[in-house]
Amino acid sequence: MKKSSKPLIFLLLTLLLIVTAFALVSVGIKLKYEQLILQKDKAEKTYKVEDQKKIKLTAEYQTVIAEERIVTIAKSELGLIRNIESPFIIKYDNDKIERLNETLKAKYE
Amino acid sequence: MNNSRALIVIASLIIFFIALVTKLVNIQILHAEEYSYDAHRQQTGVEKIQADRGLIYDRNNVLLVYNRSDISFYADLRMLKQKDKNEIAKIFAKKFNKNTSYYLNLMKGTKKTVNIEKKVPVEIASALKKIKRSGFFYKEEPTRVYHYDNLASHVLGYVNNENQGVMGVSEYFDEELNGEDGSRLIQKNALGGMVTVEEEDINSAVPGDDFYLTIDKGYQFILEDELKKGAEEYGAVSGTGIIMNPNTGEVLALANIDDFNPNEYWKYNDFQRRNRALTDTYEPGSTFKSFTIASLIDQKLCRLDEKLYLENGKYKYQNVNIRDTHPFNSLNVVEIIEQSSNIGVSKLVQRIDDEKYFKYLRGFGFGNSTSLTLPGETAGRLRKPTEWSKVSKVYLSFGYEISVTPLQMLAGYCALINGGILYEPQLVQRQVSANGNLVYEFSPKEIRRVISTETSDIMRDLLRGVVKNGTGKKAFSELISVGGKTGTSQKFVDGSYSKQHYNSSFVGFFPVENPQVICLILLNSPDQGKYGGLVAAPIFKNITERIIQSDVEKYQEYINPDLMKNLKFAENNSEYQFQNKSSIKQVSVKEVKISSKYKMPDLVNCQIKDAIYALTKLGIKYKIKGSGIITSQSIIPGKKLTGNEICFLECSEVYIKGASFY
Repeated sequence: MKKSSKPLIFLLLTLLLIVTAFALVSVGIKLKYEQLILQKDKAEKTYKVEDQKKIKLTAEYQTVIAEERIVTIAKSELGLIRNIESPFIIKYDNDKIERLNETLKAKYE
Repeated sequence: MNNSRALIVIASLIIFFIALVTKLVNIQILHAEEYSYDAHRQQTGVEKIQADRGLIYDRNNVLLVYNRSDISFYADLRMLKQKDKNEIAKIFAKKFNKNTSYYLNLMKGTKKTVNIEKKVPVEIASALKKIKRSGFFYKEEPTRVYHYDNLASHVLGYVNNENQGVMGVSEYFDEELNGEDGSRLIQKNALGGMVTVEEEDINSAVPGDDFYLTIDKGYQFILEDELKKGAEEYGAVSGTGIIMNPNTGEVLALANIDDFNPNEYWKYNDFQRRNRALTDTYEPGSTFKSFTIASLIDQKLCRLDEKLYLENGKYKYQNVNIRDTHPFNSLNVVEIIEQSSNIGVSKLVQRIDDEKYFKYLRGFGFGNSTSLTLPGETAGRLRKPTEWSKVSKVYLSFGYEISVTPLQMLAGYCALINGGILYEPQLVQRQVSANGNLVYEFSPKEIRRVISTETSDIMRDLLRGVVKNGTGKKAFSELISVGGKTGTSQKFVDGSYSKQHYNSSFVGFFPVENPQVICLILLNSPDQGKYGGLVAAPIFKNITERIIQSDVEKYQEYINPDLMKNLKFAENNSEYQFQNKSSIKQVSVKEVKISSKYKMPDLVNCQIKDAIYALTKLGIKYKIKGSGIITSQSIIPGKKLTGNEICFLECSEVYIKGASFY
């Protein structure tokens, strides 16, 4: 009754395979991790650039809406007039006008 | 047989593993320290994380200074092959419209590393970053952007190549603006490229704080524009202007002409970059008389209605001749200040004790720095009474034998008209961290009471008289009540007072009833009219009127109501016209009439907007000069049009029935 050495070899090879697979997976994970870190770094840089662009656009927006710029264009290119006094505001009540209209109609029709 | 084969396989495997383990022990245990040191040295590096510099805003949250990350490209000549050099030169030449030879020459030298292109905007750099050659690399470089170029350059300062603030708030608050740089450990490949970042070894950067200044961008723009125009018109070598709020000491605008562009600071010389409003002193001349008179009134040593004999313009005191530009036989105290009489002030100052007079002048801040949060301020010079000669007090009374900075002068005037309190000039409103938390709020700092409220009230009226009846008439504005004082002083050149070079100045404020704005204008050696009243006062007037027009709501309650009415609605039979705008024509505006598609319409006396509409409809290009109503057109009315013409329109301000046109 001689015992076969196959199971032992099989066991050893399986173990080796598992160890290799484990090593490969861990290397793969490490590479993926490094790749993600690089992506994160790139994303952070892009964010910083975009944020700076946003700030620049804010400054440009403020330049465009600046009163002195608008007034200069309005005066020199469009010939508009600056009204120094506040506008005269007329307020009216729509309902009241309608009521008065109805009263007038009822009275004179 | 099978067993022996299996044994061989097992033995081989065991030998292989033993060899592997031996090698591993050798690497990991025996030489672990040596190898890990080498690996660490070669593969890892500490990378600096540059902190973002804080932003700078004006008082209305208008962004003045911000950052941009640019990319600089370098070549390590020891590693770069000739073939790669040619290729890089070609790509860069195409991108930057330069010759290939320019880049090849750059990469020819004996230097180890050369900078191929500096501070390239990210948009352009992204394509160049893709070039992968050993010895070719790039670095991120922060760039400071001054959005309005020269605007407030002396207040803002600039940042040099070492990322250090130089001059202005950039230098004064360098540490706070700079923040704290961080660092991180990175792993590199053989070419020096980044492989990964050691996450656990990141020391994050702390961004710098943002600063909100007291400067008003609108006022600053007006001041610089008018100062530039004035300096050109009167042929001045240079000019300085400051606008402040007299009730708080806040600096609303500060400018020096010539100035510089902080985005390209290296192109300008020291004189242009220096903030002369703080660093340069001058003898103020007659603007200083206000302080003398205020001291006397405060000490009740003179009455406004008392008359003084003025020696008909020539007065000898202690063997020194004192002259008046306009000789008078006698004037009262009010007229003395209005006409700016040297003799009158010289006689009056003798009534006050030396020590008391000195105490007042010190009280107004002369001889001490104002402590404005800007670098390089000088204290000026005010000698102690023990160092005075027999004539020093008399000379001091009309602004000689003393040197002041323009800022000191204006700070002193604030105290003169705000009720008598000297404030520390303030330039920063608040400091805010990058995450929006308030770090520090700067508030107006009262230094001391110098004169009584009553004396200050009197001084305001006296200074109003100077503009209304005296030497400052050219500062008079119909829009609002203005007060001020003119000053003309000879410059001290090569050991004596020059008769060609003068400092001409004007300090004015408005409205007189409740001063909101005070402004100093100083012109250095104007060649068209030397007197402050002739050159500096008109600049002040223009600034005043532009400020009011730009901020009507704020000053509405102080604007002359009659003028407001007249400005807006001229009565049909009204004879009213601006006194200072007598040249303005009165016309009746007409509408544009297009008779034919191919004929030029008559645009004279039409509004620009109507003319633009008509010309656009006819397909004619146009160029407009001036503003208001069209006074002339380059294409004669009725001329046949081909469609390729450019019509030049000239316009001017007119005063018409119904409204004021600009």
